[in-house]
Formats: sequence, structure tokens, C-alpha cells
Amino acid sequence: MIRRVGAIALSVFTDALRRKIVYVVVLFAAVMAASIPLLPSYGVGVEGAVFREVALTLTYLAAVVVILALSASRIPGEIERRTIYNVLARSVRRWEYLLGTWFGIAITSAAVLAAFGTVIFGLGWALYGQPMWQLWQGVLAIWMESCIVAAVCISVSTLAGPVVVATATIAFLFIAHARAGLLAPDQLAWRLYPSLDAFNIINPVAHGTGVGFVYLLTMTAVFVAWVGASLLIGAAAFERRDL
Amino acid sequence: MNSLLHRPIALWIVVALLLGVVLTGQAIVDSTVGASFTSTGDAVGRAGFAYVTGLRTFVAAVLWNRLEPQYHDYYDDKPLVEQTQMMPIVNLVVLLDPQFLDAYYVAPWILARRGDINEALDLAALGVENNPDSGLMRVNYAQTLWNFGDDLPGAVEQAEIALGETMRWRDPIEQHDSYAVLSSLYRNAGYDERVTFVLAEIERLDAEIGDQLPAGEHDHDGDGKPDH
Repeated sequence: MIRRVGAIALSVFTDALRRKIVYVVVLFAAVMAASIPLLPSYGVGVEGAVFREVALTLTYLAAVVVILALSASRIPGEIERRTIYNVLARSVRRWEYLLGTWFGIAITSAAVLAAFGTVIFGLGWALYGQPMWQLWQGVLAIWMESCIVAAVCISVSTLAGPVVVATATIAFLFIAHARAGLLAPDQLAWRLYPSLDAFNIINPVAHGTGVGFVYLLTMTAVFVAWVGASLLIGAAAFERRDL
Repeated sequence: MNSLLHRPIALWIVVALLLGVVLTGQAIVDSTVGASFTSTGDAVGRAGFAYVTGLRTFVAAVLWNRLEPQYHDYYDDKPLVEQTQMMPIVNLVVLLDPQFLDAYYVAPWILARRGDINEALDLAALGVENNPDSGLMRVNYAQTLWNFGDDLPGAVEQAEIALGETMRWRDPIEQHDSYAVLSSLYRNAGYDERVTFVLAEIERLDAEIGDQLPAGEHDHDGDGKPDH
């Protein structure tokens, strides 16, 4: 099983590296990160904290764009071109195919975010004279969230085409971040609303010293649960689909 | 795994358990981060707002330039307090460009004269919040507090800040006119020493400005002399 999933993941990763959108997004985001000190509307000068906040925001947006571009059309495209049959004919179970695809996209996302993280870390060090190590916590949280988005995207793509997948994923992102706007912390619904707020550590990273080990551990558990639930539902739907 | 995928009840139980882990983890991180939580949307909005600075300040300037001939020419016979048609546009200008000072200077006066005192004070305070180093905004807020908010101590506090050396003025004329307001405020509050100081500053600025103010500029009563 591991070998089959790994082979599919590697195939997805190498295919993703051939796509220009990955490099374009990283380059564009790097240019925008370099222009942060020129932003006028932050008042008198741009402090290091503001740099970290805007840099992490850029990282987040770049990750979302890359994930949507890679995930939304992956499985629908394979089904349409009928290339998926070649894979499934080799005793690869459908859920293994799904899992391998997700792993490949997760590895690609890690590579993209590692590259972008290096860029913003280097820029922050060069501009403000201090290594902003806590940025890497923010990058890790963004990677986890992007992998969750990829899992949701892949799950929906087992049933629908790229446009519906992209729309559904954006809607999911919006809903998963709407908890603070819709509810108050003292309401019961606040505790029962599944959201992606656990991965939003912009404030502690940008304006504080980051988050502790317990927080990271909890964040990891939430990440595994989100991915597991999304891929399980997607795998069940894919099993029942008539290809 | 295959058997799980073909048993709907077992599958949904597992999914529910995983969602339970999500909610539990969420509750733990909520208690850890607490009040320092920032919405992702807020952060993305702030960054996006900063990056489109050129475009939004341009749009704000265009909107304001449309207003000027309306209230100076087209509605020339209408008192400023009745020119409420400009309020939505003033709101939009402030939203697009929080550093657009003239909007904060005009709108609170209109609001206050129409009885919306709290809204006027809020808008004047917003002008100070978005432009803390602007002398005009400090004087504007002080004037609003004094004339409409019935808060002379608050007005004096803003006046003191307005006289600070770090305050910025767009030109000496703006500073001169603002100091004239401050002298009245201090006189009303009984701060004679400050009145003397401000009057001395006004004389210094008079000498500096000279004849810079063009004839007929802001001459609303038509006597050939600028009113302000």
C-alpha cells in the first residue's frame, strides 16, 4: 500500500513542478513581499511586526492559489482524459489513489512554502537586522491549512468538475473562517462551529513570540482530524462513483 | 479500509469522531490564544488595503473633486448644513483614504448642526485616530468637542496636543487659521497664558504668510477680503 501511494504521490509532485503557475505565484508573492517596506498606509515607517503580518498574509494567499490550481482539476482531468484507468487497472484501490494524490499535493505545497518562507525570512533578516524565526511557525500553520484545503478540494473533485470544485473550496474557506464574524465566544455555537481558526496564528507570530509546544501539538491533531474526515468522505464518494 | 468505506454507518461514526477531535482541539487553542486572536479575513483585508493604496487614494480624490463644484457652485445658495447629498460620498472618501483630511473637517460640522452630535464626535475622533500627527485633525476634534460635545476639558486636551512640536500642518495658512480657533478656545477656558502664546504664534505666522492668500479666496460675503 505504501509503495503504491508513494508512487502516485511522486507522480503528482513531479507533474506539479512542471506547471508554471507554481513558479509564477512564488515569484509574484516574493516581489510583493519585497515591496512591504514601501507600503504607505501603515503610518510612520513599517515595523517588523507589520512586515511579519503582511508577509504571512501573502504566504497564505499564495498557498491557497497554488493549492486550488493543483487540486481542483487534478482528478476531474484524469477522469476526463481516461488516464485514471491506467492507474486503477494496476491493483491500485481508489482510496489509495486519492491518498496518493493528496500526499503529492501536500509535498508540493511544502516545497512551495519552504521556498517562500526562505524568501520572507531572508528579507526580514536583511531589512530589520534580526532573524525572525517565529515566521516558520506561521509557515507551518499555513502549510497545514493548505493541506486541509487540498483534502477538501480533492474530496469534492471526486464528484464534480474543476469550476464547482474551486467554488466549493472557496466557499469552505470562507465559512471556515467566518466563526469570529458570525458568533461570539460566549455562545455555545462558538464551540460547536468547526473552523480553521486553530491555524490562524498570525497575531502571536507577528506581534508576539509565536506559540508554544502544546499549541503546535494540538494544531497537528486538528490537522490530522480535518484531513482524515475530508479524505474519508471523498474516498467513500469516489468508491460509489461510476467511472 | 475498504470495508469501512462500504459501511456507511461506521464511516459516519469515524467522521463524527474526527470532527470531535477538531472541535476539542479548537477549544484547546481558543483557551490558549484567547483575546489575541485575529481573524484571517482582517489580516488579508489590511494587507490588501495597503497594496491598493495608489488606486484607492486616486478614487477618493476623484470623488472629492466632484463634490467641490457641487457645494461651491451648483448648490451655492444652499447652506452647508443642508447639503446632505455629500454625506454618502464623504463617507466613501474616508473609507477609501483614511488620510484625506478635508472630509473629516467638513462632515462632522454638518452632522453636528443637524443634531447628530455623537456621529459628529465619532467622525472627528476617527480623523484623529487615522491622522494622529495632523494639527488640523486635533483642532477639528477640539472644536467639535467644545462647540457640540460640551466637553471643554477634552477640547483643551486636544488643543494642547495640537500645539505640540511634532504636529504636522499642510501649510502655514492652515496652522494660522487653526491657531485662531485655539486662541478662542483657550480664552473660553480661561487659560490666559496659552492665549498669549497662541496669539504670539499667530503673529509669527502672519509675518511668514504675508500675502500668500489670494484675493477673493474663500470670500463668502463678497467684501473682497478672505473670510478664513
